[in-house]
Amino acid sequence: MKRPADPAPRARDPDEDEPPGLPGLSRWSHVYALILVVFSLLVAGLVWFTAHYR
Amino acid sequence: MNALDWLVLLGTMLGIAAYGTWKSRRAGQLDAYLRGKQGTRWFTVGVSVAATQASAITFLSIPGQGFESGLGFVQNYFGLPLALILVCAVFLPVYRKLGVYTAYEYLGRRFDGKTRLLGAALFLLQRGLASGVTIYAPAIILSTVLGWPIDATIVSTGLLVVAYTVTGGSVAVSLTQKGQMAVIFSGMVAAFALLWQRLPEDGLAVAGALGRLEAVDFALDPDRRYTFWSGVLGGLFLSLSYFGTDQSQVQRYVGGASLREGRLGLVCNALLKIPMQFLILLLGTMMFVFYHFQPAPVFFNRAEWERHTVGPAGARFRELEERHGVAHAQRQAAARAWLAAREAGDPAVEVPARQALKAAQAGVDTVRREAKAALVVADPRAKTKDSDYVFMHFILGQMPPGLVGLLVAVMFAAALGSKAGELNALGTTTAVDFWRHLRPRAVADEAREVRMAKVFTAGWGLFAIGFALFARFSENLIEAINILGSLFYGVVLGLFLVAFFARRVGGTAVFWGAIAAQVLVLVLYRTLSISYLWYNLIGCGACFGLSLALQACLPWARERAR
Repeated sequence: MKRPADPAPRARDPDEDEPPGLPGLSRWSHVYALILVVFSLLVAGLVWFTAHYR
Repeated sequence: MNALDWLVLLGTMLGIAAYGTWKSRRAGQLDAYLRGKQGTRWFTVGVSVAATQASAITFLSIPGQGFESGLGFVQNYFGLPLALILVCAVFLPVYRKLGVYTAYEYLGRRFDGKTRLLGAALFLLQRGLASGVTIYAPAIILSTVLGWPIDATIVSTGLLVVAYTVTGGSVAVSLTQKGQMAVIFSGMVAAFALLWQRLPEDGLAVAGALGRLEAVDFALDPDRRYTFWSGVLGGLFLSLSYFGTDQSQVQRYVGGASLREGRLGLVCNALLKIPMQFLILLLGTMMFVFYHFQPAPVFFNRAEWERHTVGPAGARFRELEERHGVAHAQRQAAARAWLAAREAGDPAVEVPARQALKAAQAGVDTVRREAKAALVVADPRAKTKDSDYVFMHFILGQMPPGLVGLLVAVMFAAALGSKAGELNALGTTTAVDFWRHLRPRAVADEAREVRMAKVFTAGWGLFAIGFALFARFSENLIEAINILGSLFYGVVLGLFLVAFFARRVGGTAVFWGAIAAQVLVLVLYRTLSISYLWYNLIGCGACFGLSLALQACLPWARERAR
């Protein structure tokens, strides 16, 4: 009798295997960089806004 | 409000409550009740995190803050994106890996039982008191708007939210928060569009001339409440404590279907929070300009004011109203002259026009100050801070029928969402960190534990109602909440940072270090006049430093760190 094939293992979120802490910055570093860039642009925009209406 | 407004209001509220209850009808187990079975997608996590933070105070008090003080308050949020990066990278993976129910459970595993209880107790104290403020805000304003007695509004709003939280659990909280946020944004966009349309051309220049559009201030003065530096540094620690260690937030993102979903939800908040808060503050500043060109009351809490105009000091109040009318007309003329001068582009005309506008504004401010003093003379317990009432006054006076009902629904929805999140977190922390810890044998009976979590949630709801009924606040409500948080959050964050980064420090050292740091923060708050945001940094630094020092110096604290 043919043995049923093992079910394929569920794809695991690769982030879950990552050690927490600062090494965890690596996989998501591009996202964190994007947040910093957007934040810098926002502050620059607010500085311009303040100067424009002063 | 007319019949259409009532129909919109009741339909919106009932729809949200029914949807949440129906979707979460199977949440019976503790895991589902507390964490929503960790199946929440990133969008829901993101909305849920935002809605938990955005209480009714956000939509009532922040426009009032913009009306009264301009845009500087936006700097309070400058540390938030940086804090959320650290939460994504450090806090969230640790919580998920250990599978903890509450953030303080982690402290117990890393240190010991007493440190866990200290973290949980500081959270419960701070959040329990804040809960009384958040329930009080919409209640007092709605009682003014609808003419209901304040106590009845507090009790009815409070009981509704307790029933909704206890019956639905965190799944219902998350699911209905999406609907609440949709209602909130529709209402805010409508108010913004209406204001934009009704302001004169280049009207914002009036606010600019009066210093209300100074969004960024690079001054190094520590006494200034909102500067770029206090926002980035103090705000970083405030946001890190709030998002990383406050159970009402941890509970939201730990419920993500995966680490990635939780992170994406937080990233959305990191990107959108500052623009959102800026626009809400700008809405308040636009109202400030709007009331230059439209009739404005001398005091925006009309119920309080009108109570006295018919009283024994009525003549004094009517005289103040007349003087305010004259000062308001002078300011309106000065604002029109300033806009005309600005359009002409001639500095020789612009400079005196700006001076005239500032003088006219000072005249209005003087009458308003006298009006508040008259209120105190008439009733020493009178609440003289009226900025929290400005937005509701605008809605009732200027919005078309139907939209008034929608925006009142927005306030109720925001109140329900944030109250549900807070009460759920308070109930969960009490059940898991105190009851389960003190009654370890009861852990086997999961149904009983769910019942106890609900009992504690209801208990905290009643505490919040009681606090709101008996407390009186003199500060601007959004600032009261932030000050309260800043006094406790720094130390709680210090506990977690020691846990993450000071591997050699044990439970006894960090426990006594945290208590000493908390005492230090409270003493400094009583003696110094620095911006409250700095207490987050001071509390965290003191807790971290004292824990290291105690571990190194005191032999009895040198237990084996786990």
